[in-house]
Amino acid sequence: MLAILPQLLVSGVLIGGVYALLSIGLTLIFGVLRIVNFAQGEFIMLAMFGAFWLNLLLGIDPYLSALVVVPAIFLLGLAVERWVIQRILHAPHSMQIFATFGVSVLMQNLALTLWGPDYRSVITPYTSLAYSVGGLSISATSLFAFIAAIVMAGALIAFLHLTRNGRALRAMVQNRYAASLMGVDTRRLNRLAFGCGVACAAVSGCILTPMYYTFPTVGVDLIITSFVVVVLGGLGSVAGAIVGGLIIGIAQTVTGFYFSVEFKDVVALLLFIVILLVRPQGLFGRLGAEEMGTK
Amino acid sequence: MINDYYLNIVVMTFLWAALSGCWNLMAGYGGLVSLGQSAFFGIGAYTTAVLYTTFGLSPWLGMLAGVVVTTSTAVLISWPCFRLRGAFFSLATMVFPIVLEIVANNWKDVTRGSSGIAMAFKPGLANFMFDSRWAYMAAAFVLMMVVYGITRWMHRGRLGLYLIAVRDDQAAAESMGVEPVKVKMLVTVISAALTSVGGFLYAQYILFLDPPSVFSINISVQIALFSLIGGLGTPLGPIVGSLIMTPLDGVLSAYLGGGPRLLIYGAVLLGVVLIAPQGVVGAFKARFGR
Repeated sequence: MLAILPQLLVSGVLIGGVYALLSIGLTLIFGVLRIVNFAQGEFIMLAMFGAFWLNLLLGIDPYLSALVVVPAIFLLGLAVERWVIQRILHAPHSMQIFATFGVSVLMQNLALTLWGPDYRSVITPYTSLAYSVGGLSISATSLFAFIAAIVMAGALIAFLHLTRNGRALRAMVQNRYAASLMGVDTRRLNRLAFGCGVACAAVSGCILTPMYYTFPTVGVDLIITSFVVVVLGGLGSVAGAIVGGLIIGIAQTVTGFYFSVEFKDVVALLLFIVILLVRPQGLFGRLGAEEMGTK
Repeated sequence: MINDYYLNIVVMTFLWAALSGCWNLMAGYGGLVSLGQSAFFGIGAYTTAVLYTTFGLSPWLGMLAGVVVTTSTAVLISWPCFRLRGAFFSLATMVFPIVLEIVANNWKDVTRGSSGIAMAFKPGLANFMFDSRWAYMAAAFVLMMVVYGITRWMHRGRLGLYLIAVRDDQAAAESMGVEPVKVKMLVTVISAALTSVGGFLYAQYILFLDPPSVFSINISVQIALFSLIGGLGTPLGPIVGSLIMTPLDGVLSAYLGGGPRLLIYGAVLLGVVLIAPQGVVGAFKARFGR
């Protein structure tokens, strides 16, 4: 039983990378706009369908299709920001929640109406490819997803720390009002942050397509785990999303093997409750983050 | 049969108005935007159904048992959630129905898992099962009016004021001597107990339960949606919302499939939030005064 533990840990870390990938966009949007984007899963879903159709109709590799899908989702994100998010930035919490929820329901059922409820999958030459390293088996698609997560997080952190826009975004995370007094164009940066956040979702969608089923409600399945990850890591923290993702990934793989597969999802959710009880701001978050900068 | 079809819509209109009214107590007055009302609904429904089918317990006692189980669960789960504000609270509450659905799917000895529980139909007041839908309509109407009455009482009374104060500025309310956790807990317990009764009514009416039909997130959303449309934080709001939406939903589901129907739901939800966030009752009041 214990001999398999290293394999479980490796699988857990790789799955954790996928979770981190899913969560980075969510945490970015929350950090800047102070809005929990309930529609994040649907942006992932649309990206997956984009990759799926490009593969089916034009035979484009799902990873390669990101070059088309990500800019398209970025533009969609700008439109949603323009028509929905901008108008609810200063609305009460309940309205913010239901606005993004409305976007989520809308997109989900648009996909359901257009493409039906079927589970679809993209078969690539590397779908079932696995590398064997020192007796451990590593699935190629999970490895790619893991690498993509690290690269994306690295790029995002570099962007936030090294560029002018990034610095302005971090200033907004700290204090939106003071940032605007210092000449930061908060409206433009809101748009940028939301666009980048959903673009991250699009990247994860493309990466996920070869290893997961594509169907209209896939976003719901993914977003729940994503919420757990960001609350664990601290909403608004990119590093937190990575660490949170790894913890959830490992916890799920280990309990899934030693207890039962059904228990796997419960464990993530229980962990979620425990974190809320013990450290509501998450591992890397700051206390009172949910109210910061909104008043 | 056509008569039964319309009666069914009326029963559902009243039931949804009652459930939405319970949510309105928490969200409209206390600012506790729960996305987990289906947890209370499902526990209420399952407790009565399980006690009736496996132990032959009278549904009347089952209803009481459901209320006890639901309110104890509500106290247990809301205690950690009250530490959270705004969207974080909603996120946390969303988790419980998901956990319960997994539990209900896997605890097969009690819940019969995904195959669900069918309750034997033995009409009679003792079993709270009736041949005529009029009886169910009356029961749902009573529940709706009880919720409405409590909301009115709160709207004018001390508890409502305390809640609104806590909702608008917790620190200020606390400094005036209001105990936030106490008033939040009180309203949550009231809301959970009545939602549980709604679950009981649903079980007695439909006579069949399976995990997704009571614990689904869609139920929590629908409950919230009706209050939003009618007017959040008004006693009449949930009733108006349900009067508009439940019959519309009946028509939509008769002519459209799941996808287009929910597409319209999403559009309505978004439209209300963006165009008329105060809801129908709120808009009416703003226009014609009090």
